[in-house]
Amino acid sequence: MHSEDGEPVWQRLAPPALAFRVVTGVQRFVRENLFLFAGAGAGAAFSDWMGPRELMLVGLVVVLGVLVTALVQHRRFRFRLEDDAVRVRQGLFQRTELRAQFDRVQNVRLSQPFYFRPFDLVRFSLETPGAATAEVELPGIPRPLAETMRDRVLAQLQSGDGEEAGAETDEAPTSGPLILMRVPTAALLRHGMSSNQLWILAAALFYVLDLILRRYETEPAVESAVAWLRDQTAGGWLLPSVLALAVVGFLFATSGLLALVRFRDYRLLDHGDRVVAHFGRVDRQERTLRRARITGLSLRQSPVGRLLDCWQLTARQTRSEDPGQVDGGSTFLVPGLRWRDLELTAALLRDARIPQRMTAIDAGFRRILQQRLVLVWLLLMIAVVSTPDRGADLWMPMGVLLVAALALIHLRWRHWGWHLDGKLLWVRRGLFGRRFEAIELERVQQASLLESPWQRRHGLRTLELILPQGALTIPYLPAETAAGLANRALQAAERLAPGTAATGRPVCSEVTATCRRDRLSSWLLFAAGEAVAKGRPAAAGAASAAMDDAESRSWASSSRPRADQESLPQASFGGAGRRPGRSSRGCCSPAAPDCPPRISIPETRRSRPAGGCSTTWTQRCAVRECQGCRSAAHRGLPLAAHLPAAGLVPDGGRRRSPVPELARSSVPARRRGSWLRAGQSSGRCERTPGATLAAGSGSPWSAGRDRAGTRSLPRAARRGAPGGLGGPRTAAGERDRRRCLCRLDAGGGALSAGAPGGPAAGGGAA
Amino acid sequence: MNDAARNPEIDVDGLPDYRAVPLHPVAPGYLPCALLGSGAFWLAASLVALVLPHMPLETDLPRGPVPFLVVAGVGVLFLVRTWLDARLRGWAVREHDLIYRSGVLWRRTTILPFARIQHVESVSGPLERRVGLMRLKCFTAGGSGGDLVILGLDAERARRVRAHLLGRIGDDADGSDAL
Repeated sequence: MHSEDGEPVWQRLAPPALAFRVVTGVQRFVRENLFLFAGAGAGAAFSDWMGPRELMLVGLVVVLGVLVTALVQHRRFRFRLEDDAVRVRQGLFQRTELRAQFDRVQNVRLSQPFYFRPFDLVRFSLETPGAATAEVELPGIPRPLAETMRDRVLAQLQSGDGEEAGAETDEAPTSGPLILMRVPTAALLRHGMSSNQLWILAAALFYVLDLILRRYETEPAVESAVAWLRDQTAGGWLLPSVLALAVVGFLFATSGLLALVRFRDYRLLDHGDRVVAHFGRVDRQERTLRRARITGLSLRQSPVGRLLDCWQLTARQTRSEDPGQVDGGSTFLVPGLRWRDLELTAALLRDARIPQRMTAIDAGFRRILQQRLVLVWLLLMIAVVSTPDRGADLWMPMGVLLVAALALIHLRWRHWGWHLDGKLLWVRRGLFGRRFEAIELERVQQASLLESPWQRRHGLRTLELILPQGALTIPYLPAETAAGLANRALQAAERLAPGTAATGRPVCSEVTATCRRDRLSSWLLFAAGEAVAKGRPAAAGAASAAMDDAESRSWASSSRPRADQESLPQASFGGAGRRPGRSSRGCCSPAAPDCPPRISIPETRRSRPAGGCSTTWTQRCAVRECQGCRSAAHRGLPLAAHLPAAGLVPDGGRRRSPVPELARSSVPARRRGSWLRAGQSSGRCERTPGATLAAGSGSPWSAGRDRAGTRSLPRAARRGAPGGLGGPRTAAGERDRRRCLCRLDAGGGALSAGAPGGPAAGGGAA
Repeated sequence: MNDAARNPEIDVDGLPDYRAVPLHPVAPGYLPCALLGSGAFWLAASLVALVLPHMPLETDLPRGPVPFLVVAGVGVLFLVRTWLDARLRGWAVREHDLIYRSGVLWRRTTILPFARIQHVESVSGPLERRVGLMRLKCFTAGGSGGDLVILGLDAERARRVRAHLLGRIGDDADGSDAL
């Protein structure tokens, strides 16, 4: 493996690997060109003018072609084992070099077809999803070498996993692998019978029979057989049914045997940080799956499987985008499980147990589908019945069809359910069969909520979570539930607030989640401030540079001296905190003396008590309040009523409605709905009418616009100032947010959401 | 203002709610751009519908204004939809994720955490460049199903958001599983 100077050398595959290439080449050729032979009519045409001799000739040509290709590819194939990766050079016309890094590996697969056994060769493949080529395969290397490589890969993985899954490696059994599951022969037979193979076999069988009959129907033997069959079936129903049973039995048996051959001696072993499956007699396989890479589980039971009590479990991983993967080797499948064996889920995914009860989706799903179905059926019936002949005969079958379809819809609705179990989300679906999907919320990559017009009217949403393994959809959830699930998933995925549940304190980072600025620059300023607070001046400098750059280009002038900002620790960021008057969303006009600075959160955070995020929590609270200011109670009131006594002069005649009140809200309510909720415990934002601008600084986030807010205001107010980066919309709503007070609790003093420093003019620190 | 001693209760509803975030609407240039785009197409289609029945082809189309009116009617509907779409689109950047809402009848709100974004691109077509618009494409692991395209950002803002995203991607990815 290594030359004298320690450099890894390029190696070649062993000669018998050629056989493998030929076999797979032929398989691939047949698979890709099957349509030529089996397409509609083509099969019959071929069988007409192609006798057995011609067929053999064609077959021979194909095999020769594949052989030559395989030879050339074999000669070109080189691989090299390095410390942390495997490099492969291959290609006929296009030389490609692949490099599979060990720490990106998701699965390792060793398989040994029967024709490799005499030479003790194996087929070694690494799966690295996310790369351009998802699978790196070495078809035909000596087994000791393959095992060495596997161990090296896994050793790498283990050290890599050590940081990720600290607890798990502690539990790594030192006493050797633990047998998680052993699947007996009977279970494998059942698995075969209940799998989709059955239907494929049936289709193949009927196709072949049809072909044979058509080709040979002129032969006397076949003719007499067909005639005999016809006589027998004309007599009674016994023989046809026996025949049918025999065919079905044959199909079942074949399917079961195929599964048995494929999965013989299935054993699942637990090696601590990884799970290894050994199976197969003819084609021995060993598949290794890293536990950390399991993103979810899928349990399936086909309709036949329901009768036979046969489940299959698939460990979900990152889906590979490589379309060249044909083998289906990327799925890690445990076949032939009984219901009681499904406790295996807990071994693969932490704390994953099939929940006893599931929450159903809204009945609207059933209602809308049934309504639409009946509508379509009625239209169809009208069309059908009005046909002059035979129209009336179709009532009965159409009626039966309708009832059957309605029942199917009901079944489908009933089987759809979900359950949130700590960090795992379980979803069940299925019509005749059953299917459970378990996902870890941490793995969510994107959360999407869809609403159709009908759903919108009825307050329902469809939740779609996108995960590395694909998308998971739960339709027709009540809007609150859907939003709650999405928020939960996002929190897990973003790893927010790891300590929230434990300490009950919100995390500071959540503050900016809702405190947005209308100008990205000011937001960047905040980010910079935060970076400084966290001790990352480089990032802060970058952010400030970006912001200054943007500011200097887009902001005309500043009428506020920069000196005010000097007292801020973020003084280096320039005076962008205050840009009075320029922006329509700006908080103040040059005329107003107490123009509040736009950023005060950093300031507040500077005074944050050690270990606490309380003040930022305040601001978070404040944001809710601010938004609550636009509650139903305030809508409809003329804006002038909102102007505070010592307030800002409306600039340019545009109304500003700094609503000083806070809403008491603890629920993240909708934008349009009511934000108010009475009777909250301490720590919530309280309504403090009238008080306000004394604190002057107001909220630092004269944040963006909210359509809900704008709608309640007259149009004039909505039109923003010309210029500025924002759009024409300047919601008065945003001004609402400026002046908010947050009273932490009855005991504590009123806390200005803006800053402790008081008005900008005075404090500067705000 | 010293709440170090307090430990306010936080219930599940205390999770940050994506719905609580007001969204930026699209930049003002988006609407004319979109209207122009779809308007041009439907104008061309209506012209074809106007002219086609009169051409010496073997079509059964009725002469007269009917096909033209039909196509023009559909075109007007699409334009109305485009207008509504420009009104309803919105985006927001939170600390840890990106929120985007689109769609007229079938509305979709997507939230994409920064930790999952692998790569950000900004693209603008010729018309968009004229108006100063840009789109941001955020790519995630696991295929194109997870990708998000944000339309209708004005160029300045798009650049800043992209710069911020690229910065955040670096930060957030440090502690998470590199996938």
